[in-house]
Amino acid sequence: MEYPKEGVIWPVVVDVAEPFYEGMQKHQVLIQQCQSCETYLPPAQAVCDECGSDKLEWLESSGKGEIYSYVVFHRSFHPYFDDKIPYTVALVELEEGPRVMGHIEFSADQTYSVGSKVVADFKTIDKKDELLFFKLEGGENK
Amino acid sequence: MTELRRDYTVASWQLAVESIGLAIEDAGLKHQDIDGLLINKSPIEDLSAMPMDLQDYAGLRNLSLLNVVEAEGSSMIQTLQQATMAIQSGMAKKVVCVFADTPLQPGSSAAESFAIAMPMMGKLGIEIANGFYSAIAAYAMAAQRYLSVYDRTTDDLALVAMANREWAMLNPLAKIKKPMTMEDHHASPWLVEPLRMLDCAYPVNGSIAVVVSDVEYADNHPDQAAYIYGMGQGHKGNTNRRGYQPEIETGAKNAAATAYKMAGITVDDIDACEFYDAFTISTLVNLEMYGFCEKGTAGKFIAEKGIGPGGQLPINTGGGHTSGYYMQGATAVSEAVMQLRNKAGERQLTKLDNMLVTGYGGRMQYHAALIMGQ
Repeated sequence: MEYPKEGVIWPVVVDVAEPFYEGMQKHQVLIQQCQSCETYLPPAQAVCDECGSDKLEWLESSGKGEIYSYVVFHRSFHPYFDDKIPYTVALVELEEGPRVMGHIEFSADQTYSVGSKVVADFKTIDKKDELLFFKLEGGENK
Repeated sequence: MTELRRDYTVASWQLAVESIGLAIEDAGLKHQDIDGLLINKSPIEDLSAMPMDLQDYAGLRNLSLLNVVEAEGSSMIQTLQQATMAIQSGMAKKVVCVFADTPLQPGSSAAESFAIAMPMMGKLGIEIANGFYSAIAAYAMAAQRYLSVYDRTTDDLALVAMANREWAMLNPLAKIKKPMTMEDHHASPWLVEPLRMLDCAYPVNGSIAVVVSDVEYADNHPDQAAYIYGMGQGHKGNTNRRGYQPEIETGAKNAAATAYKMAGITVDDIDACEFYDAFTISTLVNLEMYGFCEKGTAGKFIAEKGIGPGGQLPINTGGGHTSGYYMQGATAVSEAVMQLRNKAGERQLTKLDNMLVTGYGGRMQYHAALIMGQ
């Protein structure tokens, strides 16, 4: 499989995930909720894994959450990231329950770990797309 | 098994033709005796690398069972399971299960093959825009969760890598045999923290095939066979929300329950394990999910009981993926078969009533297990 060598790779968005990506362009973190059992679901589902209902609605998350787990890339696997290592990517558990992935950005004097509070933010990638990332709550960004 | 190489020679299907021939000969059979072919294609390769017409290349014209089995890293175990079910149901009697892969391509490193060709995408696909490339990243995410939740250090991972290395030093087929200390692990560079170079599989090009036969043939064959007593699968998915930890509470538990029950044993009856261990974290999680110890205690289990040569629970007795060779699910199968047929040389185990042989795929969400014995 060949990928472009310049710029970040943007995923081929499948239909069911379109609202999440549209939300991101408007600086919203969208999650889903089952209209039958009210379970909050991570994007993007077609059926509730709790009760099997396909009546799911999109809604906006507060964007607040905590680090569920994270990794630090010390090696670049794509030219776009060559000058960005080391960079941190986390699974963030939003306060509603679903988890989403995003970079964690922090300043030199900030430390973080599993359980650290974070809040959603957005930045423009490749001068066109808005990408979700997270900053440590109360912290200053680089 | 073909030669396992660190350079590219020929395509996967060509390697597969060779290993299929070797396995048929080793089983004392002829090509026309083979009535089943189950193909385990590497997830990083196109279907053309291991096509259905591998049948024709391999000269197998009497098949009543043919399939390309796709369940990522659990595929090889699943081929043996499907072969067993087909034989028990009367659909076939002599089934070849084959894996081949060529991650080392002309002009590109194995790391590139596994990284760029396989970004770990979930349903949302957002991983790719975050630069969340390579299987290493997904396993590093699991490792960080594990270490944080259970308050453990990467020294637990080191214990797995060190035991593998000790076994590799006894295995002529193993690729890395330099002695490894805890200090060596500490000094190993981070790739995707908390996983270091020494926590990762060592890729090779090659092919491994086995013949699964009816019990009557195995019983009456002069050369010793390995037997399958039980099998199971567990696929719990990636439920990515509060209350679920798919990274460290895996479907291996379900695979274990089915396999142990079918074999009529408990975890206490297992003498040795061959795990899929592309990254060291998975051996810790497997030890817990297959029932050998409580969650978060695998490191203590390894330190106290030992999983290396002379240990109470030998694991990955050929050096596993990290020091032996990375032939995906076929690594565990090949080492298990060598042990069970008493062909493991210096590393030969003496008590092998029940061996647990497993594979997992994806982000550890696909699991398949066999209970095997002599």
